[in-house]
Amino acid sequence: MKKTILETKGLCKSFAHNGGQIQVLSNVNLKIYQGDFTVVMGVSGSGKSTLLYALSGMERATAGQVLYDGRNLTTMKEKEIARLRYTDFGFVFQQMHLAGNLSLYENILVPGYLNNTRSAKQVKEQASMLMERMGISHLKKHLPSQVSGGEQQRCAIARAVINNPKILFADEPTGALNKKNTIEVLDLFTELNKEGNSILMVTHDMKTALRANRILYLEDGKVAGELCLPDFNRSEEKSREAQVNAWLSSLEW
Amino acid sequence: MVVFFGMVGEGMETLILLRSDLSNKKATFLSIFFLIFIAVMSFTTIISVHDNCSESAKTAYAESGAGDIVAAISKLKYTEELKNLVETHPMVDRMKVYPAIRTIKVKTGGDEKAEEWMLLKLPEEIKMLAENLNGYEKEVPPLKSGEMYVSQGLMTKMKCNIGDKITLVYIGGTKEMTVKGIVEEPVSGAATIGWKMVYINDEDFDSMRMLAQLGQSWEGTSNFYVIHIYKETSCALSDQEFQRQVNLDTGILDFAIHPITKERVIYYTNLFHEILLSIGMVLIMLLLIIVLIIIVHSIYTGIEMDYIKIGIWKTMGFTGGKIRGIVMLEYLLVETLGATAGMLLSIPLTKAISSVFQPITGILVQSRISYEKDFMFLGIILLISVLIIYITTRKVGTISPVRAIQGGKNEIYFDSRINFPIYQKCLSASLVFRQMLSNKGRYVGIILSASILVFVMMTITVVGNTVFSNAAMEATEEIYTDFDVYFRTYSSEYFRSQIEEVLEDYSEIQKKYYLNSAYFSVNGEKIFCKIFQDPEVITMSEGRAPFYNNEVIVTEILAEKLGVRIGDTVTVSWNGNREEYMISGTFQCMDDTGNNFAMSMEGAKKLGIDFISRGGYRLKDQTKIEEIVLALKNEFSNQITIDVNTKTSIVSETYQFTIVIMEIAIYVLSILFAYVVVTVGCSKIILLEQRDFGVYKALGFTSIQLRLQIALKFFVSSVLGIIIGSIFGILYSGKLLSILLRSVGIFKLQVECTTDIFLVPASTVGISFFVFALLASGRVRRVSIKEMVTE
Repeated sequence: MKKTILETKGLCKSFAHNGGQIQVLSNVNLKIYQGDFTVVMGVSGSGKSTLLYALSGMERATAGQVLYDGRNLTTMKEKEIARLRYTDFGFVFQQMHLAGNLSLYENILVPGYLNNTRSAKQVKEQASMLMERMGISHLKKHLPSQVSGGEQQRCAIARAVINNPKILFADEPTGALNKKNTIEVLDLFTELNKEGNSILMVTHDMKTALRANRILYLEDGKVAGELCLPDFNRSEEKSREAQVNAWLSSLEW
Repeated sequence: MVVFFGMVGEGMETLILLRSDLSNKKATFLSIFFLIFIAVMSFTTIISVHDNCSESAKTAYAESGAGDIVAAISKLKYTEELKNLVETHPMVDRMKVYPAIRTIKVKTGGDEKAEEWMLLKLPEEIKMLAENLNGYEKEVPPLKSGEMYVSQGLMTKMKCNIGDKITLVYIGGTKEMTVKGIVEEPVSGAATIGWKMVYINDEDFDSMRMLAQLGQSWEGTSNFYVIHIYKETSCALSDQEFQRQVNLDTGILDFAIHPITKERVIYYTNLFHEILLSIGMVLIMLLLIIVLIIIVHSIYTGIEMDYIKIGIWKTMGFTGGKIRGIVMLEYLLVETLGATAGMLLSIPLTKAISSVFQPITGILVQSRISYEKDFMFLGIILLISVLIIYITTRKVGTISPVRAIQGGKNEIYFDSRINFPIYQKCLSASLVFRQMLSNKGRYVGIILSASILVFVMMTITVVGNTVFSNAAMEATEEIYTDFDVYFRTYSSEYFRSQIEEVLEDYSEIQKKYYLNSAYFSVNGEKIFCKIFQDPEVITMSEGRAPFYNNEVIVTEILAEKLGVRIGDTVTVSWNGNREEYMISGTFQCMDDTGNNFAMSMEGAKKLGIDFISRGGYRLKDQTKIEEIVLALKNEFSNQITIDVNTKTSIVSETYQFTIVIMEIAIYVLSILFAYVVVTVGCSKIILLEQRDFGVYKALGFTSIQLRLQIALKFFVSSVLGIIIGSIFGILYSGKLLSILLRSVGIFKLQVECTTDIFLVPASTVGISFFVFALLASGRVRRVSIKEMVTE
């Protein structure tokens, strides 16, 4: 039996627009399990990004609850959510969003320092180890503007995991990368997941979705379908792709 | 403007872009509107107040019918021969002579002061101020016995009011008088002029004059004539040159006291407001530089933020010139609106502030607005602004539409030569330093603004301190004493030693001097001279003190005026005696606004002066002054008059009040400017660094941590500004003030680096920048991480 790490109960989110309300998420009830690589897919405007904001506490729900480890994120104070961001959550964005004035190494150090549970020396060792692992150790002193998009994204992943988060939120992490970099970054996510990290990723890309062991399909603000898959294995990629494709077609994607 | 409208074009598209830009950058434009509003309001008020005071003094002088030269001359010295000599002088049109009685001191409210007033009969042409002091009475009621009319400047100087009783002491008797009303007396009526003309009842005048005539020896010192000499209309000489020529040809002023020309009267009358308003104007000009810095900063950051938008405009067919024209139009529109509002508010302000100087000038001040000058200054400011906007917007021309539509200008951070490391223990602070080092350009405007504000505040604090502190008085090389003793009769060395013995019973004497003073003609010009028994007490600027009897020292101002230098010879004459003296050095002295010189008693003996008229003492124990004064009065009551030099006796309350008001005004203006600078700077920085704030929020920083980081950035910028401003303040505020204060005789003002001169402006700027940035950064709360998520 998998442990639930995130859960929504009757989650609704609407936005004011032209004097009226646009319902983006309506009565979403779902569970995200520890250790899962969950991918949220859906057409543009289906509410998948809004779901990511709500699940990660970036956006307050209009109604309903988002429970993380039994605690309701929708009622948490800013300080508590900020704390979760450097202790339990990690974020990876499509545009990387590294601090442009800090070197890649320093970008990784900042959340480690902010967490303040380890000594500066330990944080530095961890950051160096992560850079080594991400294959960017030779770029320690480089600024983000001096490296490629793939290298930036690998740095962003290292920054996201330096505090060993319980869940990693990723928004189209390969959206801005070329094919080679996309594969490298996805391999990293797969590797992290195999090590026990929970991942919740939003994507348009089916190739990316293949890495997940659970795919949620969102339509008009509701979970319209769910597909569970075995853990990713490169040798089965073709058959996996066919399976996901067939499932998505059945959902008229 | 023609070029400018040519750039903009006439189409509706311009109007649409203009409107949308004004609406999108409301906060920036409101700030610039506000700054221009304050600056224009301040300088138009200053110009108008200045013109009103100056014009009022000129008009009042002209309407009073006073001469081009006015002087008082003893009845004994004013011989028929001298009179004829002056009257027949080819440059003299006519003369008017008014009999007068000279006082030697006055007593008011238990205090007595050595004051030389000329008592005159009430003339017909005099104007009387209404009770509320903002108009004239239709008629001047005749004076009854025991009543007198005085000028408003005299009341300010003496700190007296209508109804107060003043005892006039003259050689021949004393007479108690009641101040009945205030008249406009434009010759000596200003508080800045030492001697005064006072009007009394005809019968009182005649009886007092009679008493003074009883003894021949008294008459020479009490019965005077106030003479008015009028220049021929064809005479092209200035008043000063006319005075000099008349004196060289007739010698009349050698026998006169308080000779003064129309030019000098107007100069002295306007002296105080001229100085204060000049200082105010210079400081406002410095604040205007901040407005220009804000405009430049705002345009630069605006272009940075609108990079894509400008690129898209270009793809639509807008030329770089047209876009620059729109930017210029936006700023000029806002500046013009701010300036108009400022000028409108300056109308009531001018009325209110003009009257502030009336107690000092003693002249009913007009409250007109100097539109011509105001518009001219405004035009200059707008012209500078156009030039600056034109230069600043050059960057628009370099924006490539292709690059803009491909995702805009990527933010590129270059490796800084100075890289501040990131520390775990002070993570926020180290991130602040790193961000600042990476974006130095964004903070240059803030640093410059802070430095100008500190310089402005330091300068006005120096003004206040110079006026209020004894140490600063010393810095101007005045001889500051705790009290002065005026000897009524010849004072022997033995008599002076007796006084010193009394003093030493109470306190050690720290410094003392004995001197006399007189107006001597120097190369034909009547100049105030201090005659020192011991010239060694004088602090010299250059050269050495006048130890020998053929030496004098002059102030730098007088040296410049007479065109003489150390080593030159001047001819000094007095009472028919004429001697040559060599200039042995220069010194600084504020008497007669720096137009004075000094010599030793030995030197003065050659001209016929051989006695000490006063002594000054500075004591080690100043708590004993009251007891000492009492003891001296008890011991020598009939032989001396004592003037205690409290701070309020040096600078009257009206002066203090005006200077304090000005200090407060400049501080308030500076804080308002700091508020606007920080608010504009903060909003721009938040917009430019919005992405970074989102990143940090995603990493776990709270809004308040980020706000503190922003406040810290502004604080650090302000500290750099404080350092620059303080260095400039220490180096240049003294020089700046010396230029502005030359008119009062201060040639060289040394700024003492006291803690308040530095600490008050520094802490005001530092705290303001931190607090205002903390307040203005509230919008960081609204920066959401979701902005980084791409749908």
